[in-house]
Amino acid sequence: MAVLIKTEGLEKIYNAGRPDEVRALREVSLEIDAGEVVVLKGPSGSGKSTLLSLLGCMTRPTSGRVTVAGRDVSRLPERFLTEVRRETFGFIFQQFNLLRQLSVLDNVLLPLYPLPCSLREMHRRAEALLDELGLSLRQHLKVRYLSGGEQQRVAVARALVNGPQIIIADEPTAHLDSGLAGELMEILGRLNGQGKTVVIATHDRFVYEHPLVGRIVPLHDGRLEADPP
Amino acid sequence: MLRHLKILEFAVAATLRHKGRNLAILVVYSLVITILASVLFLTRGLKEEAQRVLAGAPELTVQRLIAGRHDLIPTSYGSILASVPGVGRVTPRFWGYYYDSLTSCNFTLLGLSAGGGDHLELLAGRLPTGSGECALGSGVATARRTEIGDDLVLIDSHNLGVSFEVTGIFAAEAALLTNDLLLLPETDLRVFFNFPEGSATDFEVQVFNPQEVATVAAKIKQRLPDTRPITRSEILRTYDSVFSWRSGILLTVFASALLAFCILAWDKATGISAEEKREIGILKAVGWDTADVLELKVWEGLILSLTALLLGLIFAWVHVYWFDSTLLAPVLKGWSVLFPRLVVTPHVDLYQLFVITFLTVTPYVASTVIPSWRAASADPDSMMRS
Amino acid sequence: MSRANTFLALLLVLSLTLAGLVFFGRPEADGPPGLKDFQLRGLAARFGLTDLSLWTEARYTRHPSQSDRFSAFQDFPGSFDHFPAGSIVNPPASVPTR
Repeated sequence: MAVLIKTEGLEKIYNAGRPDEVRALREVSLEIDAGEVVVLKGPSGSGKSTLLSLLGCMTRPTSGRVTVAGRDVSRLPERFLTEVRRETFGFIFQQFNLLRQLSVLDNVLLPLYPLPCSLREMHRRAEALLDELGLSLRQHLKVRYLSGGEQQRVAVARALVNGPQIIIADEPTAHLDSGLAGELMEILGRLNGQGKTVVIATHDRFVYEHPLVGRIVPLHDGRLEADPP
Repeated sequence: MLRHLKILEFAVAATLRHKGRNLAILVVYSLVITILASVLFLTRGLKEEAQRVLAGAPELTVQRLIAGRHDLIPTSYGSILASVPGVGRVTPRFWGYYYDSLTSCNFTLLGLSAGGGDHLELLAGRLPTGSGECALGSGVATARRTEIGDDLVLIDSHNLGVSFEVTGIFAAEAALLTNDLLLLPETDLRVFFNFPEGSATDFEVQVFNPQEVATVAAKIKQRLPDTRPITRSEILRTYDSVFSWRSGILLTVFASALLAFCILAWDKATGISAEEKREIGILKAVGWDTADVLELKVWEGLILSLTALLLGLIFAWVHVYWFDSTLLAPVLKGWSVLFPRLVVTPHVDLYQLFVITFLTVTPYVASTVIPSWRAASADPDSMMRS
Repeated sequence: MSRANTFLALLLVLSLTLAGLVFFGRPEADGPPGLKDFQLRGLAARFGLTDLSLWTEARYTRHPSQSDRFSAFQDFPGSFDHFPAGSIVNPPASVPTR
């Protein structure tokens, strides 16, 4: 399997030089192959979300390197970083990060605005995904009226609508009961079956002990607890 | 192009999501622009009107000053004026002001030299030909409810009532020049005001060569040091500055209103809220460029400001040129009891339109875009954490 | 693209309305353009009129081009200024202010 994402000596410091300085990541070196399902495991404050942000080109490292599909993205200008993010990644955030005043459909359409497809094509893709995830009947409802599980599915649909190669999920089961958590893992399993790489950050035992998971990368206090294989 | 249209689609949807608030902003914004544009159109129109109409004013008017104040001028000065090289016809003028206690109006009474009887396009009836006749401006006729053939009674300087038969009334279209005018035969006017024998109000002086008016004026001043010659160009310059939009209380008032609106708009957009930062972070996270986010903000600003600008200009145009500035007239009128209908000729001044557009659209769009700039340029990760 | 198109169509309609007003002027035009100005200019020449008949409350507001330096002070110290005419009408160009 080809290495899809690689990090070398990654460091991330927030508020550097200030009294509230935080070293979120220290010397993290990691490789993720294409088609893998990898879980970043660790307690709160271990640096899981920060590592996900760096892998997903949502922020830049303080030092070190991140390579995605052979391309060094660590020091890319913002415009190019956004392009990589748009074309390669689909994010499922811990807090869902949906726009609450928009409808289900409008939230799912968001990633498609910068892409060169017509409004009609945008609607077609979004509606097909919502249908697949069982949300067709609720597509015109404002997101704030949905249950936690439904919002999670909207977040998944939004993450998939641009056809990403890599799915990044940050604590995806945090607001779900076990039944819904199981459904989510099934969806991720289906996506992995389609060849997508999945990276999940979690401290939920249900997730990291799930049969779908190929590898666990433990993190503690911003460092990897064991060297990656 | 497609991308821009899609972002516009999103911006319009965002605007419609807050219908009530945005409609209120649109109404206030349009009103401010209507008022500002009305003032600019009207003052420009009056300036143009004055320049065109007063081009018929006398080349030179010569008045006498005593102790710095305008006083009657001896008619004997006429021969001295006529002897100045370049001077043509010299005509003494007899005119003055009359306060009508019946209507609380001030009229301007003007004496007509012998002849009269003219039929003029803008005069219904005819000019007075003999003693005891008069012609009126439309404002006077309306104030005194007088028609052609009626008698108009005025109180002369001996406190006696004098009756004049109305032979003509100027059309409303001539109100800008004649609204408060009362034309009497010259002899009647001199008796009415008890003009001292051998004096007039001022002189109207014709100059053959328009290029020499200033030179002739200087010569008159030399020969008659107690006079003040007033040239036609000085008259036109006076009106140029009267209606210049760069001065005047009205523009100060409305510039203040506009500034207040800018402050309100800025207050709305300043200190972009945590929720807005989060929204921008989400847009960036799902693949929107910084440029896309800023374009969205520009459209959000333009949607309201362009619509308000066009609506404001349309309403201002109709208000000034169709309805003769009915809303502004009471403001401009002040203490004047008589005030003409402000009928001005439509005139397009591209510079003025550019100034209105710049003053009204730029601050609002800037106050929508600038606060979002930092958030739009930052990492989506940091925005979503805020 | 219905909402974007609707907005652009609205802008176009408003722009065309404004352009129509600007190019087609007032609804009832009295005679050929310029005729009224010509007639008014004739009146000014015929009667030697030097000022527009706008504000009639004081000498310096009725005949701003003819007023002297002291007209604005009226005839006694306690007399009122005239608003807004007094704040709009500048001293005549024939009276140097500097």
